[in-house]
Amino acid sequence: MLFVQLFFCVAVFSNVRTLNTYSFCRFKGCYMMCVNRSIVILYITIFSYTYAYKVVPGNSIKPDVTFTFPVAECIRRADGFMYISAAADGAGAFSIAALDVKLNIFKPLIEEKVVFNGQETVNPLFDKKVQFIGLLEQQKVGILAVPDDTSATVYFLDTPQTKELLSYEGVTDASGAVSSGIIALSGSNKSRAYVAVKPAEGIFGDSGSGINIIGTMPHTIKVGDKEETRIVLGALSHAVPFDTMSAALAIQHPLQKLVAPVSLVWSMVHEFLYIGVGNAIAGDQVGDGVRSIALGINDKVERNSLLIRSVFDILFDVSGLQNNTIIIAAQNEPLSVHHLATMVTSTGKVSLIVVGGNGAPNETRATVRAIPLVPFGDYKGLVANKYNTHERALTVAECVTNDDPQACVGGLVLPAGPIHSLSVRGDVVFVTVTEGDSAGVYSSRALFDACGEIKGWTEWTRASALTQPIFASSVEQVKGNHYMLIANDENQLPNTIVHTAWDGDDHSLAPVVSFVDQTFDIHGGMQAMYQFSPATPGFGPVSWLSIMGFGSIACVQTGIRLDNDVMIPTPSDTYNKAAIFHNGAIDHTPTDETIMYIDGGALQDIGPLTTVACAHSQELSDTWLVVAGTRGVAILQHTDGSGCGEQIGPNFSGFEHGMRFVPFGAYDFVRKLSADGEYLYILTDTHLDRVRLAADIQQSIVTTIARVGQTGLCNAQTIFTDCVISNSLALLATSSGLLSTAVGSRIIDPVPAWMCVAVPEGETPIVALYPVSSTGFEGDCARGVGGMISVLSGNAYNNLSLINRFAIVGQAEGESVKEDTVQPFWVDQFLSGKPSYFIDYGQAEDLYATDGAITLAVRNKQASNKTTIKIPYVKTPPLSGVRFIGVRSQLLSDVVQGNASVSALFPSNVSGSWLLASTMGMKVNE
Amino acid sequence: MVKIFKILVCFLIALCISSQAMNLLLPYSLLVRPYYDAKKQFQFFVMAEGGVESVRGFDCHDQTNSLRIFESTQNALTMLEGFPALSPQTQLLTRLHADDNGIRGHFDVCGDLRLDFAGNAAFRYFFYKTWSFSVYVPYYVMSLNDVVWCDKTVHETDADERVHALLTDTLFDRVHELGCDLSLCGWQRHGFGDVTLMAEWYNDFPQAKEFLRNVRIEGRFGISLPTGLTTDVDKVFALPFGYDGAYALPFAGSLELTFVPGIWIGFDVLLTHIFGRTAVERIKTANDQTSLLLLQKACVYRDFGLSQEFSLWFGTTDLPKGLTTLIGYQYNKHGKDEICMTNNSFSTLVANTNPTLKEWTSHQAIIRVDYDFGALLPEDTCAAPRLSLYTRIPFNGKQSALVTTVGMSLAVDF
Repeated sequence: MLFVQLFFCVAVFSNVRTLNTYSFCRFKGCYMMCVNRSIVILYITIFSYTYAYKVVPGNSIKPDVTFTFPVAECIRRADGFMYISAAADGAGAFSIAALDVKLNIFKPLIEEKVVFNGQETVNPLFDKKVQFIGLLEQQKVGILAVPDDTSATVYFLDTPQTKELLSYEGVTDASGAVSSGIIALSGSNKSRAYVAVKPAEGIFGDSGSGINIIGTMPHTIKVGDKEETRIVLGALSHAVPFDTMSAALAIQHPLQKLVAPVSLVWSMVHEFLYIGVGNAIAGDQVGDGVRSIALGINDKVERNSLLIRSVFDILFDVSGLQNNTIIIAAQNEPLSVHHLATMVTSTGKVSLIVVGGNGAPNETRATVRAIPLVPFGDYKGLVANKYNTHERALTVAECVTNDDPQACVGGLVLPAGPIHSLSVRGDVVFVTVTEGDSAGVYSSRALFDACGEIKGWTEWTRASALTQPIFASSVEQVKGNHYMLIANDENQLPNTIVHTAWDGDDHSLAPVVSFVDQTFDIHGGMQAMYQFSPATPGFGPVSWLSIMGFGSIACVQTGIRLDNDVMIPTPSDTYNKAAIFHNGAIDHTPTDETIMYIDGGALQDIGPLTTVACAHSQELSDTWLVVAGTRGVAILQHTDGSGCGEQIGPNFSGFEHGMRFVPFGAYDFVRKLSADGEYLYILTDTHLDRVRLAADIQQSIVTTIARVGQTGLCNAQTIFTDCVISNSLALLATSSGLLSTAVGSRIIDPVPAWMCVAVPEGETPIVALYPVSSTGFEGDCARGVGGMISVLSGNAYNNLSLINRFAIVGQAEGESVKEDTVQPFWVDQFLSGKPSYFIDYGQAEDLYATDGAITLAVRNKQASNKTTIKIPYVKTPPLSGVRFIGVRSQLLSDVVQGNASVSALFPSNVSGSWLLASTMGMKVNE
Repeated sequence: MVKIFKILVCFLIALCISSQAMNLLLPYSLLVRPYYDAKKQFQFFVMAEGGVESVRGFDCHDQTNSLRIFESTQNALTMLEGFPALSPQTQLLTRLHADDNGIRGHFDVCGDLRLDFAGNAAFRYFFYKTWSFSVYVPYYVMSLNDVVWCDKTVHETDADERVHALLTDTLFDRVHELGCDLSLCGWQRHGFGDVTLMAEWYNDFPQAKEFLRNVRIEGRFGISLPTGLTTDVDKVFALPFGYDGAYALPFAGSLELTFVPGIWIGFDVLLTHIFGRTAVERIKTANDQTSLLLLQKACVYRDFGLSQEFSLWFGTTDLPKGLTTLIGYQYNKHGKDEICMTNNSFSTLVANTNPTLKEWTSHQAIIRVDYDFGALLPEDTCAAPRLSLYTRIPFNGKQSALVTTVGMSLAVDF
């Protein structure tokens, strides 16, 4: 796994002083000799890796390979269980294997000899290819297996006891004849599974194609004089027809074309089957149309029968389909579905996630759409009215379209290329890409409105630092690790399962961690960590991680965005050059470095740095890096007060020789810096200042726009704790509650008005605000489709922490705040009609972090209690109206040292890896 | 005789002035009070004691400063916890924005706690054979000097700086302002202790055995009146001079065996039931608060645990005549107290996590020499003085502050 490719040494000489006192620190691959706090010589030895993830052991003896065979199918569950099947003969007992969650290794499930249909014999699956597997998840998990798509035989294997195998041979097609092959299989949480079968003659789509049910059932037989009840496998005598004639797909006349692949997805919420077709083209007569997804419902009358119907309850007037924007229904355009998944959001809404849409298969492989479904009631499972998802869509106008932001997962077509697999965890859609230079895993998170409906999606971001083909991915919610199926052989076939881990020390950011740990190992360690994305005004196509310590800051270029809008993480072997500056001044212009470290000078006077911002003026075409902390604010500027220019570019372009940090104003205990528009905002414990950026930054006009004790704002005892500023909106967290710019007001007004925002059943003080926007830049949460804000309230005073969620409505630039701009999530309620909090942690938490899939909370050391990180119990994931989510959270052990003080925890906007900054160093879950 | 008495009084006063002390004198404790018999109808005696070394604190494991017997450090951060959301304490806590990393906001506290004087005046009256009635009136002078609060907070992080600037650098003022006038400085207090009225009985059972000459059985019971100075909740570690404003019922029994060569041994059990009482106390409002930095005062009902004192001793008597010596061991144990809030503003459960409510124990050795001047006087003398010198040497304990003391008592039977 680990290829040591490069040994690189860089010596940086600066500030050479007498070597009378020094400390010599050693760490893996990096040696640093320090004289007092001045770095004299830095040798960095960099290793380069193909990847640094942990490989799950399987049947391969190679440490960096899991299996000796390619994997055909990989089924992942939220609780970490994983099942795989072999795509080729020769896997031995590993033809089907399961991940042992405790030991984190794959164990074979196929024994060489089994009791097969009541007789002990050689296991027909042993050492054989298994193309499809599905799970029957009841009290125990049973596995259904289909050898290949030319087989009409289904095998059933119970777990954890695997000594008995059942089979059903001769699964029939819709005509009652034995099918020529099974092309798709879906398990369920019932005793039934569903298979898509080809007709006895021809290909799928031809007459006779259908969906059959395979189920386990008790069967009584006579053994001698006794009757014994055994579990047997059975199927319908005739598959339910599903072909070009199917009324669930065709509008008016039969389809011209219906071809595989078929996607079968069982919805646990509805207990319905969704059937998507790979390519469907409407009939060629006037008024003909096509739907690409059908709904399979177990017939209430005939228990073991399937009713296939349309997902729409619309009597289609195809004139409404003329624009061909309904995603899964069209008039004269082909429709395609490559992958299907259902999503139950943290607000309790249900969506069908579709890879595909309007167009031929090759046109839609990078398109992901979300279609709201009716969550419950008589019409559950049908396509919902986009204006009220509790109701079915009755007209075409009520269906989501390609133009609706709530339907467009990732906002745009995935720029990385065709999607190979799809998975959903929490509020996040994950897709993997195996082709092209941008291979990897990408994710997009749902954004909600106040009613909990999806109103938009975050832009596609990488969810893994791996930049190689990934065939499947899944986030497990027990430890928050990300499992991925990759190829690690010369044939580039998927054969290796890797996963992220907190305890790895050879991840892609390892050189950064080493640098940071050594650089910030004195004076309290890391004090704060921020990240900037290309969406940050003033930033070019680069992402930064800014790490702050006592009088020092390190800026790390973690990624660069290519022309195709795909972010590429900085390879670890390019972290070999660090531009190191002392006395708070840049004494040479950085050229090709990926780390820039500055200490001393004005930074030393500030002491502990706690916040950083990039102030950008479009009017002035200038950008400044601003830092602040305990004893003031400092701005990196030229002597004439100008900054880095239009934007900060790759390898710190814009930072030039002669720039230095200069103190700004007279501040102490700065809580946060925020930049929006032409302004920089400085939040201290007692006031919020607005700085109108000027060409000479030191000449900027400073206006105090909020002050404790201000009439109509808050009393003199109040403390400001956090703020989020976006467009005209400012949200101000205080020890007395949550404030917002008042209706009709703007934060850029000369004297902005303020109003209180009720936090339903929340606590005071408000400790922190966690904004989410579609771009990843918090200043965009009141722009475009808007965003969301999670509010952490309560603290040690009452040993309580609550999370409340608010929806932020996007506004036009400069538009005044409206009444509905900030609204609590009405769906977060435990009693009908009474909005409440989302999560109650039951004790004080200092940090809250979520990427939509994984939710973490940090409680720093308090007296005898050690620092802990919590993750919700896997069986009670965060969901509106569900109690005890926080209280039942599980501790993530061994992530941080018990006496560490965690100052930041968030997922990287470049790689999706979780980053944790603490006084004891930096940790990465990668 | 008068001259001797004057000399003894002067010695006693000199002893008290020159000594520093901590342990509170329990005037009716069997091993320190003067001996008596029913030969005379009245007995009057005074006692005084003082320490010969600095106060030693005993926490759960080791010996420490007397201000550290409950916690090794005092936590100024957690003292702000548990208050209402909009209270000044919570506002300050929010402003501090600091987690407790084990040293931030912590103080090493030490001080010199002294029992400057512990005295007792008592009177006994034999009203029927060996039945007597006695009154004990103790008096104490205590002081806490040289209190040092050493801030352990470093200057490394923003949280450190906040804690320094907003809290620990001005701790005394902050605590006084937020803690309802709590003072963290030293103090001196003096006043009476709890007056105790006690009925006592003893009987000798002479034995016609080769070695065993006499068996004495003694019983006593009484009532302790809440006349003593109570805990001063506005001063740090200002202990009460008695049962902290509560009535108490001490009852005890002992057995003494006297053997032929003048050796005697005995044991005594003294149990004290302390009645509950309602008073204003400082309470914990959060679990991690430390006992010297409790900002909240509240009216609480305290249910005291049982106080137990077990004594064992041996010694010589009348070797030579009139001289009695004793070496004893005394074990004290006070059971866990419980408090109950009289309103629901704060949590009773949290308040009961206060370590000062936990049980405490002490072990001490006592060495004592008595001389009965009546042995030098005729039988029919009108007054027979007794002089006693003793030392109490604590050697172990749990959550208790103990000091080696030297004391004396002078009794006159008449």
